[in-house]
Amino acid sequence: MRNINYYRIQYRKTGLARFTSHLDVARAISRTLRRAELPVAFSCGFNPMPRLSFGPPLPLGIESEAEFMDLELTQNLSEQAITLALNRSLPPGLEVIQVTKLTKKVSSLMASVDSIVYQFIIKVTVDKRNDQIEAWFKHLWDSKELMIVKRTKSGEKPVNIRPFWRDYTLSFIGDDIILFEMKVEFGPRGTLRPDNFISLLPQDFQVQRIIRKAMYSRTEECCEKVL
Amino acid sequence: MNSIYEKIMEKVEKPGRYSGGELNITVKPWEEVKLRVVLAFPDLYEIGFSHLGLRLLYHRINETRDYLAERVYAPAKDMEEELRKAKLPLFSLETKHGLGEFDLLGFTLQYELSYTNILNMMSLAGIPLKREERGEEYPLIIGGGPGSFNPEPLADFFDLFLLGEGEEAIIEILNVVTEGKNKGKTKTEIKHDLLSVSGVYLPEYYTVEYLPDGRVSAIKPLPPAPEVIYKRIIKDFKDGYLPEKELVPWIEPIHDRLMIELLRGCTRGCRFCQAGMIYRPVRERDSSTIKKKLPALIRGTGYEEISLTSLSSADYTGIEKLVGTLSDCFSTQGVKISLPSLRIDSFSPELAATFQAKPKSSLTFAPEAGTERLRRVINKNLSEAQILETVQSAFQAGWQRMKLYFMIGLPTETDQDLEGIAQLAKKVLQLGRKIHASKAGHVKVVVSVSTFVPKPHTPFQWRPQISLEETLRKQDYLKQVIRGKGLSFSWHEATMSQMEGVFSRGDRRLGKILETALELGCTFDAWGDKFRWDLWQEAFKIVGLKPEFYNTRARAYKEVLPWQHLSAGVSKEFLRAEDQRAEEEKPTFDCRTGKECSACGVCPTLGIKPTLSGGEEH
Ligand code: SF4
Repeated sequence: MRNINYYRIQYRKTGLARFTSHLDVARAISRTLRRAELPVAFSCGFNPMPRLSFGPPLPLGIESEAEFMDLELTQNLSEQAITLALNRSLPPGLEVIQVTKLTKKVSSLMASVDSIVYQFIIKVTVDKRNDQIEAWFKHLWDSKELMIVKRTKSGEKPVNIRPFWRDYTLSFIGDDIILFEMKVEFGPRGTLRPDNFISLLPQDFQVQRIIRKAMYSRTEECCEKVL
Repeated sequence: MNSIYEKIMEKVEKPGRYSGGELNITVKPWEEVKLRVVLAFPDLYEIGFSHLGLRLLYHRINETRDYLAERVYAPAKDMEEELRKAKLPLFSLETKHGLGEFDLLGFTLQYELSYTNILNMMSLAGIPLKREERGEEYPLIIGGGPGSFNPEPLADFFDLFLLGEGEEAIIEILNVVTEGKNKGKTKTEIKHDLLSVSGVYLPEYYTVEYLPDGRVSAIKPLPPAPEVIYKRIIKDFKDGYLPEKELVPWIEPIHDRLMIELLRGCTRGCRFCQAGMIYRPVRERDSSTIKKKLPALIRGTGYEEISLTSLSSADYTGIEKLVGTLSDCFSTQGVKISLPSLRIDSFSPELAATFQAKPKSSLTFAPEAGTERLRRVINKNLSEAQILETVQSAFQAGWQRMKLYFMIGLPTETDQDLEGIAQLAKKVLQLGRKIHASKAGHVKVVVSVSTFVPKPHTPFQWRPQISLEETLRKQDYLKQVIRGKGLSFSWHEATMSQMEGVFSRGDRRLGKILETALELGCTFDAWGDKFRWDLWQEAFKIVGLKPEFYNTRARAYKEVLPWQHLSAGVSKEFLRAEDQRAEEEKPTFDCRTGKECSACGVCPTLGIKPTLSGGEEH
């Protein structure tokens, strides 16, 4: 059997690349691997595919500092060499932050990620004091139920997203910018999509950007942050 | 990037259609070039991005020092609404400049039912549609592609058209425009200068006169415009232009692979086929050039598939050898080689196995007509035995699903020929079931039928198209006879073919129809779910023209055709003789080797000859 080397790769997705769907990014990355001339392990079968798997998909329009993928190579390359090769070849808007060599095959990213942190950059268009804003978020946090309308193939249905909201922090920049960071659950029960959360904000809270900041795994033995 | 545009993109379903930023695009400093061109494909990104010709021009222009080229595609309805709401002009993908800010706006005319999109894109960019309403501040509007061989329905809107192959001519055009601008010439003066570029057609230099019944009586050139404009052609295609790099899209276009053009032209001489007539003669690219260029193109793009494109790639000299070499060379990187289509008479299971993804997928063959008689009429001289033999070897090689493509409404067609379609499909099905005896239920035959639309510059350009009623009757007939387990039938929307037929052989008076249809709300007419037959009919009523005049009317040989002053180099005498031979069911042979010239006129007229350098390495 060939010697397979496992790597976990953290990358960011910024700027115009945020308009690219998860599936399209996956295709862009598999092409990047070919451009980077990395010794990728391929699946067997009629249409060999690179042995590559991704973490939780990122909703369209959202940027990220914490995207993850697992890659298998047939040669033992240094983390730095892989980072360099990928960053030379990635399309604009995608950039590798860190490559970590895994000592063994670990459970998939989709299975191990348990929560995700999103940062909202919000512009407040009415005159409000910071403590008023804090109180508003506190009130939201204290609600037992937060109903949003979810659009599915079979129509619209109301869902309570409160159970998926794990934590939050609030900070302020200048007079009118709020940095709101929320931690949401990700798992078999479901998750809270940040774009769904927007509908709960008042009209005069204008969301400028949403950035995925971090992902966490559930198991203790894994480092706390995935990676 | 301009954040107004980002804001808009956040609101639309597929922002990747407009965001640009694809790998290997060229973004030049706007102020530092002499001329700016925006190349437009009048359909959605997914369709337009896949078009090889426009990309070729894009790279060709950007490889020059002085000119820049950007791209734009037709915005979907949601984007159109956002643009109108925000009062923003339709913009280019690369630098988000409004189309009106460019010096040249070039549209590719690939199919008639994209014409309303062209007008809509101009309108969305705030550019007056009519040529005479556009002052000095607006870009020159130029058209190219197969539609420019009869662009008359668009004649009121465009400044110029280029007939034929563009990669050399576009640079000549840009040079003339730059020189004119440097000398401070007006648009009118520059257009006058453009008469000197061969292949360029300026509709304003031709007046069209009509008979009371609507037929054209004369097309008169204003001096110094020539009587006839001949198409441009690349004489030396052996090592014809190939870009150094290729674009890689973010979102998935319909053809998502590296495309390399193997050869140009096809002289098999199918009498219904416009491409076969207007792109003559056959010219092959050197296989050594292809082998030399490909590795760098794959390194630069990372595509997992290379498609060897042309009108008929299996005809390329030494195709098996080339595919073999390329497969060997690229398979280790997980890159496969494909051909866009396979011809029945050049099919071999070995060849097909290399091209087609997997035997599970379906294989498409195009007999075009249901009987040997009708195939003789259209000069697609395939015997039934040949077809069945090919299909048999495909089944034996493992394929279970076949798609058979036919046309209805071909000249001289009778119900017997329709019956022939059903018979052939059933024979194919039986054959498949026999070969895959253990899993006969898996064998599927899909019969796909489109309606024949007579095209300018073909032997059938004088022939009537079948009427809507007749189309529906024939489709119904086929629905009755193509029945049973394992068989399915799909057809092309009859009303769309009617409209295609109108514009295919249309004249300048149809400009009004296009404008009216656009006002009524027609766009994306090539999309079955967007096509509005009712609105088109209304447009004809408002303007006072009859569609039947254009599509279902037979023309006499002596009638002045609206495209009489435009030439692909193929003589009218040849087309007429071919139309006669069709009636007599006489074959005309392929002239690709140049040994059996059928005297179509292209070679002597344009000073060119077929070149089959292809895979022959000496
Ligand atoms: S002139 Fe003769 S050789 Fe040339 S394309 Fe026509 S038929 Fe073929």
